Amino acid sequence: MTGKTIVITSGKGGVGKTTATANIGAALAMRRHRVVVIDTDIGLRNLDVIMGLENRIVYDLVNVIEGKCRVRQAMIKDKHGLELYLIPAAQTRDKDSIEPSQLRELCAALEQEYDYILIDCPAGIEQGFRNATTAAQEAVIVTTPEVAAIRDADRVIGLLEASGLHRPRLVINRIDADLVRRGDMMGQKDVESLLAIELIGLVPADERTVSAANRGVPVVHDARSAAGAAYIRIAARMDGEEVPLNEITPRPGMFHKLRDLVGIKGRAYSHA
Amino acid sequence: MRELLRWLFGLSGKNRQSSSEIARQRLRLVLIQDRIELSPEKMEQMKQEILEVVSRYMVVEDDFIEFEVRRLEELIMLVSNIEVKDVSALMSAPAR
Ligand SMILES: Nc1ncnc2c1ncn2[C@@H]1O[C@H](COP(=O)(O)OP(=O)(O)OP(=O)(O)O)[C@@H](O)[C@H]1O
Ligand SMILES: [Mg+2]
Repeated sequence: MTGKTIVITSGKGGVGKTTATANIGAALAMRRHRVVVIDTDIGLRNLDVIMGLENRIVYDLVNVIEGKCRVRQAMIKDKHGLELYLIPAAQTRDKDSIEPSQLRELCAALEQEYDYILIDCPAGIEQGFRNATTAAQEAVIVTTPEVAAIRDADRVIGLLEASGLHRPRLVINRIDADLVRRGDMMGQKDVESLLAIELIGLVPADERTVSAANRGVPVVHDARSAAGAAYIRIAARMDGEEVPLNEITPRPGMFHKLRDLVGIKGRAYSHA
Repeated sequence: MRELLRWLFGLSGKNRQSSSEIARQRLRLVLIQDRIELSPEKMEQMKQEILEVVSRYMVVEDDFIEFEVRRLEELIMLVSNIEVKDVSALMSAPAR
């Protein structure tokens, strides 16, 4: 069996990489794949708390790389009975305690046994970014529809391209359909044409993501969450399934205008 | 009432630019500069020089319709479009 390693990266911090990693990882595992998610944000580990596994950590990524434990010992199994494992980042070390080639070696070994290895990349374009991206065969760029996030995403696309990681795919996170319709947020088409890479998903801004993070249960497990549904669709697309992307366009339909006019609060998101 | 109707039918969009439109335009410029690592002054200078050269051969609009650095997979392309105002010069130009 040969799996593939996909890095989730963004350039700018706080746009939703860790949330995306946890949820896409869980959604792929729900599709009966064997999945490993690796937190490479050394010193600022987060993926464990998003997945609710922070109390089970014994060994971490740096321990594995330094040969202090076997890979299996550092892999924490997900709580929901899925074939999903987390390798947590070290909290008390810094980013240059591992080398790109070491992480690549680890992923190459995992690819023999698992279908997907997802790497949660730290923000920025320094050592941590190089570690994470060198280890991967594919990349997913997460951005929000904001000027600063898109600019950083573009830089990252250029850097990936230069290092031979071609055709990264794009997730646009925290889209607010009402703001897009009002003309106060760039829509899917705008972001897509600016960055000119393939779109693999649109994730609506959804406060359920925040409560899910509080609980330590990824939002894909919340059947009523629009963001959760979006991650499930992203996982399906990664898996090669054709799932249409629902557009969020700025041109308001008559219904929305009337609805806004009389102040009816409909569902704020559209599923994409 | 007229205001209301106009708003309902989306005719009022012309006079005020939406913030998303402003964001898009700012990004277009910023991305050009980031992609080719050219300062805004150098960029402006290049545009002027290209217009100058083209104007020597045909009558064109004094600004670009489109001037953008685009990425197409591993290629970076400079895409520029200029409107030709007077084609008579082109038509009468001797064919080579
Ligand atoms: N679709 C969404 N709707 C609402 N909130 C979201 C959404 N996606 C992410 N968030 C929230 O945004 C915050 C940042 O998310 P996250 O930690 O995943 O970003 P990150 O890119 O990993 O950040 P960092 O660069 O610091 O590692 C979190 O509080 C998260 O709950
Ligand atoms: Mg993170």
